[in-house]
Amino acid sequence: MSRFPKFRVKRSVFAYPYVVFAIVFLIAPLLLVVFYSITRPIDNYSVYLDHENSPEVIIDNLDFIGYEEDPTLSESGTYYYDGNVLSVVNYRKSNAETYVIHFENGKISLLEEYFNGELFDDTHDDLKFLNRLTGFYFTLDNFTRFFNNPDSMKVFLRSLYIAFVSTVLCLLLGFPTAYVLSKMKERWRNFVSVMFLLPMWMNFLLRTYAWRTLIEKTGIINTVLEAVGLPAQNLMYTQGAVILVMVYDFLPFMIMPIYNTLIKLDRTVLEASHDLGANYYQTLFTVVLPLSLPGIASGITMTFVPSITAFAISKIMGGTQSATIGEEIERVFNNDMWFGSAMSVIIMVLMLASMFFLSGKDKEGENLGGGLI
Amino acid sequence: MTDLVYLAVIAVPVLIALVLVFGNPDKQRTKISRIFFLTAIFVFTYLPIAVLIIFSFNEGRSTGVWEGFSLKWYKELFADERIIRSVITTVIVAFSSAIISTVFGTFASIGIFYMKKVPKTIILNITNLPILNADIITGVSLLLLYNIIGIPLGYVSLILAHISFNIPYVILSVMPKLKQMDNNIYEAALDLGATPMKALLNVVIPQIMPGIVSGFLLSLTMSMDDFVISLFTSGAVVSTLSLEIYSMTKRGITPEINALSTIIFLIVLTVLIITNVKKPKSDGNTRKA
Repeated sequence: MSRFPKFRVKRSVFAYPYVVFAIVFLIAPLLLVVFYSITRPIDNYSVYLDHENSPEVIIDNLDFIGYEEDPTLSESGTYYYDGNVLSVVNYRKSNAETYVIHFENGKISLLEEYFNGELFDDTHDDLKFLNRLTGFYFTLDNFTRFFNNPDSMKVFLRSLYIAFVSTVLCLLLGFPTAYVLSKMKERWRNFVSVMFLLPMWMNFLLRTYAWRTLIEKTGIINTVLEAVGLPAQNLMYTQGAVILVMVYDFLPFMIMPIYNTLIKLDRTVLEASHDLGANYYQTLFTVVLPLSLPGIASGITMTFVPSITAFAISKIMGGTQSATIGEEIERVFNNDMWFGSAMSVIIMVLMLASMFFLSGKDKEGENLGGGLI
Repeated sequence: MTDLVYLAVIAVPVLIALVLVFGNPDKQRTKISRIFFLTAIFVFTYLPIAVLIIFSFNEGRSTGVWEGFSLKWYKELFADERIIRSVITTVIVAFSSAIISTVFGTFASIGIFYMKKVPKTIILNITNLPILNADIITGVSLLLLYNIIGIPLGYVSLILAHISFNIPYVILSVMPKLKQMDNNIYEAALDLGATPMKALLNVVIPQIMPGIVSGFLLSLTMSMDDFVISLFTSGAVVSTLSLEIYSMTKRGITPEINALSTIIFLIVLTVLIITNVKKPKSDGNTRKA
């Protein structure tokens, strides 16, 4: 019977729908972010005509909403206006292209786009869509704007600082917690570790909110302080409050991976270290610590990366003085996707860098563990 | 400046505790300080939650002054149409996205498992993207995608977004089970006359069932817990519980949130106790990225 070859179906076909899905929903969005970050829109909606001063053309807000008009604009295009039609020729010098914008009652009614003298596209109904697809030019303006703007740099550096401090605090609290937990008797430690990790399963907004009730002006801590006769502290809406809640929210994510590596440590390795004459501290620093590096590395990744971009925490706990980069992205994105995308790309690069660094550490640890066991 | 003072207030006790906790394990002092340290962390972990729970039974509006016991805020919570609607939305979104991702992700894992090495590595790395990426970037990038391909923000966009960040978790839970599976079983089923589809459904799927179940539960949790991605992809009309809590904290503090937190805490506690009684080994690494 030759039935065997018949059953040799390529089972990898099951993955093909997912591959399509992954391309559309996992890769394409990120590529879009990168694409938006290196382009700027040619925003036809911000071109408007002042009919009273007609035929003078007023171009406003063409580059950034809320920013003064682009000084390079007058150099990069020539504008013709004959009462109803505004033509923008050689916009941005990049292509020999012409945009002809027709107005009716001061509103854009038709947009025509010419490439090399030929009508490329025109539309009546979906101007917005067309603008989005065709009205852009490549530039690094978004990035230079970010790095030249002291405000956004301040927010960026502040986020890094907050994330760094909270990660260090998480590590300082998380490692000993995981260590002590791992040294407990096995009967107890499963239960106790679950108790420590339990808040992780609670909605993190609720956990964040919980601190608010404690440290706000009329909260418990101030009530207690006043009852004792101490002055009320202004704890809410400070950077300290943001860091405190970040440590609180991310601590389980630091404890968990370290605890998981520590309980898997081979006892015989520790005994060997002891037998070879190492004292307790030597074993701790030269055996336990290096072997738990993979756990520490993933703990740091799981606290540092989300704390750079966490924006709900700073929004709930911090005032305007402690806005983080995540908050900034969210705020900017509604008005200016291009600038917001550039900020997202900067964050992505930063995260890739930290992950690259940490995954190197992780592998080292794994190799070490693998070599020893 | 005040930040530095606060930092010192936190850092000094922490450093002292570190020295004591890592002291000689045979000394009584170390044992006591270890217990003390764990208790301190435990208090830090549960103090805010305990305060929330206690003040959910407060008669007054204050979250700092006790004015007597009452169940008033629970009544108001259940009368609050917005919250009830957001709970329903959360359940719909979480279950539909978890079910779709589990089915889709399971078949995808089987397919990926039998791929050649290079495409397999590539697709698995792509799968890791949403897990490693910051939520806000996933949210922002999906918003751009929806803008380009013209999906209006609402239930569809929200569920699609949740599926896209849930599938990786399903694949990551199912893949190890496929690796553990004895491949000869599938071949044996074929030899015994099963069609490939039958062999898959009756032999392979039962073998990897634990992975599928944990993938489903993980998806459900991630979906219910998600805030940032939902914020970007849900639009103005649809609101999940996380989004509702967020807008509540922005609107100002009401003890309704305390009542809600208490209920959620009790649900989480019950689920964890049940799962841990069944399976004494802590499944703490389920969320490990």
